[in-house]
Amino acid sequence: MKIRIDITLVFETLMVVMVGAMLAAATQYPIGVRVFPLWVGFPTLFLLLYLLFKDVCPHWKFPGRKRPPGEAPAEKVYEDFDATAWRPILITTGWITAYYLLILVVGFFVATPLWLTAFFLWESGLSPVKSILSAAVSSYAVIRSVEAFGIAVWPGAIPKIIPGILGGGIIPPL
Amino acid sequence: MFGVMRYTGGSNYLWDGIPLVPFVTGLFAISELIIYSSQGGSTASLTDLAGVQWIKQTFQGIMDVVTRPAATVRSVIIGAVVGIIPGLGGPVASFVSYTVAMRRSPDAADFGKGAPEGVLACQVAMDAKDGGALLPTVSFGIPGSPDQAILLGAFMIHGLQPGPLMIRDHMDIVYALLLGIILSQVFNSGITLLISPIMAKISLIPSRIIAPFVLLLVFFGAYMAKTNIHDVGVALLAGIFGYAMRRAGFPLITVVMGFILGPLVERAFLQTLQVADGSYIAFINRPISMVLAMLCVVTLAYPFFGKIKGWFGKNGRTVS
Repeated sequence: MKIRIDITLVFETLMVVMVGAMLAAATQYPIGVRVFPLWVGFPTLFLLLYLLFKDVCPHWKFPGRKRPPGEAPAEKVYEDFDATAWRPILITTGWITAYYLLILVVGFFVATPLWLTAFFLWESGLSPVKSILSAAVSSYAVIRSVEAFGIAVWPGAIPKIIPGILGGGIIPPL
Repeated sequence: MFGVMRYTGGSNYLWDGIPLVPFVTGLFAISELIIYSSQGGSTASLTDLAGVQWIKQTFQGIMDVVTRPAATVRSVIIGAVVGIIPGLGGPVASFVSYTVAMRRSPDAADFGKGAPEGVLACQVAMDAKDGGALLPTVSFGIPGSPDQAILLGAFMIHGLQPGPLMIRDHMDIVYALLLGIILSQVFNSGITLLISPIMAKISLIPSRIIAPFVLLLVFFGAYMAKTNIHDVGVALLAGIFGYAMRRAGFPLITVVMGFILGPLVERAFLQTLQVADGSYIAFINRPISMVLAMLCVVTLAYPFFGKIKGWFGKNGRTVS
């Protein structure tokens, strides 16, 4: 039996594993703490397994309407959009992740204009002057707006270089 | 209720659970950003901007609504009714209203090609659903749409418990919400008319230029909730999870409903068990609770009953 691997199958499998792990963890808790996760978890696991089984064995005769001869099979409808190729998705996700890591290390003040400039130059195709100007103006506007609320902007986890702007941030315990 | 850490994985950060604002922000905004930015292009495309008469077309849009009162009222009713049904949201209201408008229109062939009736049906229903969605949100604490799920989160942050008690004890807030929706629709209409020529041009800007600004706001917004840098990471992970869900065909609103309603349901569930000394009969020993429980079972089981009935019928077997 050949199983076609697609994102739905992978996602459902991961969800089954996650829910199963949560159910297993729930059995370690006292009775009052575990009763609700068990009540919710088992139906969820059952429904996920049902979905997974339907996707793994689509040729099995599940209860449902028999398609009249000549009618085209219904296409799987993805929510909201046409599924695009993986490469642009991974590139976009990479950019977003890079921005987060940059913020973590050097803080919003430095990471934001740096990242924006790089994105405008590399992905958006803007000229260097436009990229730097756009990045500078938007970074300043957003950071000033945040500071106007009296919120201290994260300066970054590196050792303190410019107090309050670059470095010196203490990463909260995880 | 029991003073026991649950599902923290040994992490101090998860003592209070996954934070609401970064999670929901990431789930919706970053997942949409991933799709939007990776597809490239722009929301709309137009080759000849010089030929567009923006103000004239804005007034034409107003007249398209004024000259179709029946279609407008029908779309309002559909949107409000769909909004009352929890969890459906704007896309369902738009789709149902569009379908009904197309079936009743003598010019159905023009639908899908910019027919004013189609646009009117979608947008009117989308706006009307807000009023309808407020009903289950305030009355039962069940969000009528994704927007209302965010509102529920705001209620929780401010210590307001949606449900019958909110209507009894905070009727002023309920009226404020109603007036807010009415006034916001009026002001929104006026402001939109003024800026629509400018806003329409934003749809022509490539996604690769808009996306970074949106991401900026998302990350700052996630950070501002508790000024904890890990919240930004939560938003990122929620966005990746949200994208995987959407790609696999799972709706996001269900996660938000469970996320917001889960703690409320658990508290009510455990309180009921404590009052009934651990007996589960307490959930069905009153007429109202029994009816609600039966409705839940019927709602969940009905799709399976229909399919099983059809399967038995097609195989020639009958249930005596």
